[in-house]
Amino acid sequence: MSEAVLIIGGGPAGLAAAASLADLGVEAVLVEKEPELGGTPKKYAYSKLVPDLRPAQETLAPLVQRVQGREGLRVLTDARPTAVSGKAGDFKVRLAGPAGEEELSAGAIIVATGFEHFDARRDTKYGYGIYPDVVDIRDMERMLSEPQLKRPSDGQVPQRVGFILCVGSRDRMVGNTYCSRVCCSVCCVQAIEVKEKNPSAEVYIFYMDIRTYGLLENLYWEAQEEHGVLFVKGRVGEILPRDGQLMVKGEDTLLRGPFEVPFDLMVLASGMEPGEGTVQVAELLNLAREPNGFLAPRDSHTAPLEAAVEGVFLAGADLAPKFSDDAVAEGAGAAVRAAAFLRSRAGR
Amino acid sequence: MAVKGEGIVERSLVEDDHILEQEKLIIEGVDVSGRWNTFLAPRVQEDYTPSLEAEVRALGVGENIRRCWQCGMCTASCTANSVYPDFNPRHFIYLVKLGDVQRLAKLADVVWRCVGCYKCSQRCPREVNPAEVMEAIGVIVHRRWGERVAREEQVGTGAYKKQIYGTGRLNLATLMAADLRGLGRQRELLSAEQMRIGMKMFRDSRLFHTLRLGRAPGWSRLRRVLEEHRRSREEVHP
Amino acid sequence: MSAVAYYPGCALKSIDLAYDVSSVAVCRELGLSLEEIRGYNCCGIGELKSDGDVAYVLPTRILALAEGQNLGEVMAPCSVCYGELARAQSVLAQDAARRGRVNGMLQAAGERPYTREVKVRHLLEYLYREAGPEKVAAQVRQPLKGLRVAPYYGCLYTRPGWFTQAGRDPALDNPERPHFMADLLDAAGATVVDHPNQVSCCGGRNVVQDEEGTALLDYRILSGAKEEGAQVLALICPKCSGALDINQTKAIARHGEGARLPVVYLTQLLGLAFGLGRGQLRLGDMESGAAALLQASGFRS
Repeated sequence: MSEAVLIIGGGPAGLAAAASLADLGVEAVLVEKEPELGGTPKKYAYSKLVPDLRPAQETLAPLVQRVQGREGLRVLTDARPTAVSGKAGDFKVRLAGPAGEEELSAGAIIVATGFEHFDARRDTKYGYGIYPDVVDIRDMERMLSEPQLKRPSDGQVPQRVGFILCVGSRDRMVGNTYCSRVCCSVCCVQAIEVKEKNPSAEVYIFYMDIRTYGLLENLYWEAQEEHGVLFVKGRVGEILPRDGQLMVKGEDTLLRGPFEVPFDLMVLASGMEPGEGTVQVAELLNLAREPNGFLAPRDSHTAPLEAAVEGVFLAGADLAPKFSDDAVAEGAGAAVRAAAFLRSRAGR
Repeated sequence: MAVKGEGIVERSLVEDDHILEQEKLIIEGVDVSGRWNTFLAPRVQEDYTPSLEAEVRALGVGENIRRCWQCGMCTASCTANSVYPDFNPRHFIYLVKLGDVQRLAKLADVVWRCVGCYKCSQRCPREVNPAEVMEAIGVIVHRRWGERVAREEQVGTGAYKKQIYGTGRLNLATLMAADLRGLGRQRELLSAEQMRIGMKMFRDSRLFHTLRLGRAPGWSRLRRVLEEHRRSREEVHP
Repeated sequence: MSAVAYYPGCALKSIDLAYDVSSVAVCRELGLSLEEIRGYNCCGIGELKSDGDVAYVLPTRILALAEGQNLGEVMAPCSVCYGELARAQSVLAQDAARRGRVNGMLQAAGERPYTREVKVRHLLEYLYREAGPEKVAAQVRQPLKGLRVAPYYGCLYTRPGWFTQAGRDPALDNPERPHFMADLLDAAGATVVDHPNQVSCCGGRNVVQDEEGTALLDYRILSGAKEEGAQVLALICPKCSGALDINQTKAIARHGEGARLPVVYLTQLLGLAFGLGRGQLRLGDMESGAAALLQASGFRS
């Protein structure tokens, strides 16, 4: 019987879970496979985070701070679980880390393994990975973290920038039929950032429909009203290099006809997929996955943060595509559910 | 004499029957003939015909039309659209789903321009299979407004089907001859170019191979079965 | 290695005999064993699709014939035949009811039904996977040195991916950016020319019905390759040959000399590199001057 909680994943959800458990006085171990805490926003050097558009560093730093030097909380980076045995109340977990292998006991496990960006090379019509000035939103986050936005091929400041929504999402052809939910808002934010860095830039967003859901609608409005970002309804069919620029071909469905317009930089809104860590941990713990590969909760309403496997709790983008603020809320929620679970067993 | 609607700046965007223009018109002694009295009839959708979509779906090849969300990937990728701007698969699908019979009728002679390259179907995010939906729309157009479809297409499609169903084999030489005869262009069969190719194929033995193609073995029985099924299909969807 | 069922189709047994004999000869040189399908019929050439289930009967009969010859794979050099066979194979694999109806029609005519799964392959993919650039290079006796060849893949060799599995099955070529032909030509010593319209359509379907539209599509492909420095365009489909080779004169008449470019089948070039004889290459069958160009470039067949 163990009183400790193992948290797998040191992104926003895992960090929130760890801090919450420390607040509750529950012993915990946080395991992160990367050398640094902060998850995907940290790994890919995100620029600004939704919803309040503060620099990602400003948002992540307090999350990381809250898990440092806490009593009863161990933080291991560069480490990952390699084998799990036992059952709820007494899991035996083998960890591989920089100091070698170790085994620890945990009463409960919180899985917060997050997501990975869709690899846009799989959608070959856009030439990602072939033409340097075709980038995805992940590359763009890093590029926007720099003081000036420069295009990869020649370091010039791009004057005409285009975004293509729904790359690797809502597409039977690539095998992902779900909406990645964040990309519309992220592209609005990135478009705004492009305009902030270079007000003379022209920015176009090629869309089928805009899903800046809920309170995020203001980002869509702001992009249009404050920054003059233009929205073109239609799909881009292919991108070809021409005279140092990118020739972007598609149909403008409102004009009912094709376009072939040159751009300096094209950004693909590559969606979210369950990360390699999520797939691996699902196998280790025998967790059910929904048809798209994300982790499935035991019940969407009575147990949204619990796996069907007793003693295993879920939080963040391994459940479905979502923003980091939602992931943080789920991390805290999963911590409370895990603590309550351990307490109910101790009382038995 | 002036051409109707000549004074309209974006003339190509306005359909002929929406242009109301009197060649000769004098109002209270003022000559307002021709472009001086041009009016455009309003374009208001007045009804929908949902049975059109059902007709397409019933053909089997059009069965996935309901998946379409009008993103434009098909038209963005379309070979025929790059030659004929009116050939817009997304727009055709929209017209069929809405049941806009009038607009579709106007485009009756455009639908068959599909070259069957499947670029649209390759890229369509919903796997609508627009290339084959266009085949289905083509059948509907032939049924309803066959007389508006170019003679070349009617003859071509007929010749293919007659030969393939008839013999189980495709003989390109006799097919082309049938096509040209159907179009009343049989004299081209005797053109110097055709004679040259014919002689060349005689010498290099390809003519002999072509004559030997004949029928697929046992085809007459299969031909009867296929014709029976085609007939019963036509009876269901006259 | 076990044999594959070889389905040449109608064009290769008549006007496009050059593609048939050169394909068979090249496979033989590479040690690949083909067994021709006996009593074959037309695949439907894409013109019957709107007839619903009836249209599936033709390609399905071919799959059933292969099955009857105890062969688990059918290989077709013609992209249209390949497309029709792949379409029937993939649709019937997923739709048992349709398969039942199609088999019902075959059986009503006293034909053998299609009961197992027969894999459908295109000649190019077959050559690439079963032989590959290394084996091709090993057979070369007359390298195509200095010959600038533009590979042209056309449409149905990979499209659409959910019939052919291209883009899903990693063994198959990339549907947007194919490279198998380029790799084989490179192995044969040729200089491969990259050009913009390798997977664009030649308009072959409407070559008679719509001369004007076809001529424009052909002009774009031919002139695009020529502008990149190609001396010859390599094909893998007789329908493309009908448009780009036989009807090239029409593209030239309408759009000018930019469309003048010799056209050959991939297998003719590979056979030439392998040192095969005239009877197995039939370069003279091509209409757009390939034989003269290759001879003038010093290649002997």
